[in-house]
Amino acid sequence: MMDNYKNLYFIPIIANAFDSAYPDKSIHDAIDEITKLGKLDEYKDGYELFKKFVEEVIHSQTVNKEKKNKVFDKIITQILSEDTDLSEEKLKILSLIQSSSMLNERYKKLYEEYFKQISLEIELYKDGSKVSSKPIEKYSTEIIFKEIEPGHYSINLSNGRMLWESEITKREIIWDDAFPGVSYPMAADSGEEKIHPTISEELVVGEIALSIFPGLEEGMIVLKLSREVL
Amino acid sequence: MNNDSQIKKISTSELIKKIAIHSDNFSLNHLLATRKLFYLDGKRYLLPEYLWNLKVRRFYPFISISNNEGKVDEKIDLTYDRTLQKFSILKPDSSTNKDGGPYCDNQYRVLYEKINQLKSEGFFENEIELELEIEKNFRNMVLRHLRYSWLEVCRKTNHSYHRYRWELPDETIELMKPRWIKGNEFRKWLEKNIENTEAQRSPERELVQKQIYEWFGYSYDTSMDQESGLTNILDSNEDPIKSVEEEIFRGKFFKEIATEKSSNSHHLRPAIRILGKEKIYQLVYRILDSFGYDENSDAKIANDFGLSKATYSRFAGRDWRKGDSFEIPDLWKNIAHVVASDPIFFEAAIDYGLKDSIEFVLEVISKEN
Repeated sequence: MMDNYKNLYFIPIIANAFDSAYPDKSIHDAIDEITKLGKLDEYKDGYELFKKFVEEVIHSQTVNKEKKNKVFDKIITQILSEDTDLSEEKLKILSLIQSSSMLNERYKKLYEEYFKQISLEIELYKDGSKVSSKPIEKYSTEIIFKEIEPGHYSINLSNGRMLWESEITKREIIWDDAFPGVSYPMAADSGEEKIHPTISEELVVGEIALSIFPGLEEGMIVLKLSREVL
Repeated sequence: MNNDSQIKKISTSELIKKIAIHSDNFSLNHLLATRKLFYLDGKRYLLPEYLWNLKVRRFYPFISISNNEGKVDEKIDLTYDRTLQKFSILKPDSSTNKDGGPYCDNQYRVLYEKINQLKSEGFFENEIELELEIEKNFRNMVLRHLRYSWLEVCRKTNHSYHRYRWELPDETIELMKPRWIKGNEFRKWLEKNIENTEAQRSPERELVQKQIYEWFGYSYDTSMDQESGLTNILDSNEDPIKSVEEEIFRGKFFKEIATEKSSNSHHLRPAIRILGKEKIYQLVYRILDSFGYDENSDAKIANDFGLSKATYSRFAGRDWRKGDSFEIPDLWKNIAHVVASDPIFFEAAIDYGLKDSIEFVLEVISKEN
């Protein structure tokens, strides 16, 4: 029996980790230590037993499906919260996960819940209340807010950054107040290009420009987006 | 620039720059109170709201809670506070306050450097796209710190040592005493084991403390009540295998296994079961306790407990090979199931398996389908 003295070298290492006041770190350190020692000739046989031991752990009936799912969820979310491109090792794990329909389903659910990026929207506030919101969609070049009446307006990104804020009066949105004595272009000519904006401003230089157009009874805010916005 | 109407229009990138470079509290407060850079379930949140929503979910799935972890609700509260603090409190002027923390300065500096890197790589030339990329990096950083905060809180809360003043005729030495051992017993241990008591000077005191840690370990978290169970069993045994004095300092994990095995003896093979609860406890404890210093222990233990070589091998043998395959003896199999029930170990085992692309992980995955 004494020939196999080092076969179970991993048991006291695991025991020490469980005895630690900081089991989280100690358990991971213990597995690293077991793996490192397993590369030495004298622990090679023991390392084979450790693999069998881990196999027994993973197959253990004491771990129900819910607990297993929790572990996979944590591993998946750790991969999803990587900043940079995934390492080869992580890519391999990801491909293992995605090769399982059950795990891939969990992957998608977690992605949707915690990581799926929400596109930014342009929000229109009047007198402090949100009155309209429109997404910045890929390839969209224009966002229009109609039925603008006098009041205090602001235009914000949905992440809270304000792009523009101003008082809008009849002089900006009502034709007769904006251009007294000038007749409103006839229907046949009433393309926007025929109407001059009362306000023009660049909100984000080279990316978003604002124009306010007057109408007969109410005005219109037009945001021109450069193609490079998204 | 510190005026309300102007700061509202500043890009997130500029706000972070002001916090990172100029330690600008106004920008920091504005960022925390108005910028909804975080999202959950398709909805945007401010950082404090985001963390609060994660806290309501007990930070699942971003942290794993060990079975051994006590005071979980308190630790979750502290983790929330600590993580939020790491992103909301700038370090005060060092001349007036050297303590406290954690502070957010470093986090914003790292984020600012990351933004500069993204800009220099030329991928995000327009501001809107950069806003989105910052959100992703900011979120990942918060999640990383959430995990760190959990570990830090667990470490701070799980103190297993208390302060102890060792009164000597001419001096008093302040040491850290394992919580589970009574003061008078600890004093006896010190008197027996620490020869040089001229330990007033800090290096000497550290040396004594090192000896304490080496003997008692860094991590005992058991009470004397728990230990007394072991004491009684060993005291009542006419043929004690080890003295209580020696045994009492061994790790609690082995004791838990021995207790578990002796309490569930009906699951054991008849040749082991026949030993009875107390002997089984002693047998298991002795097997586990023999690791590391007695390479001939198996034969001796089998002999001491009247077990045949075959019975011992099936129960706790060190050679698991049976021809081309493996058969794990009962005790080790049982330990595998005990450690599996700990989410941290189970996670580490899966992680280890995935890293090595071991086939059985795939088997487990396919079985769950």
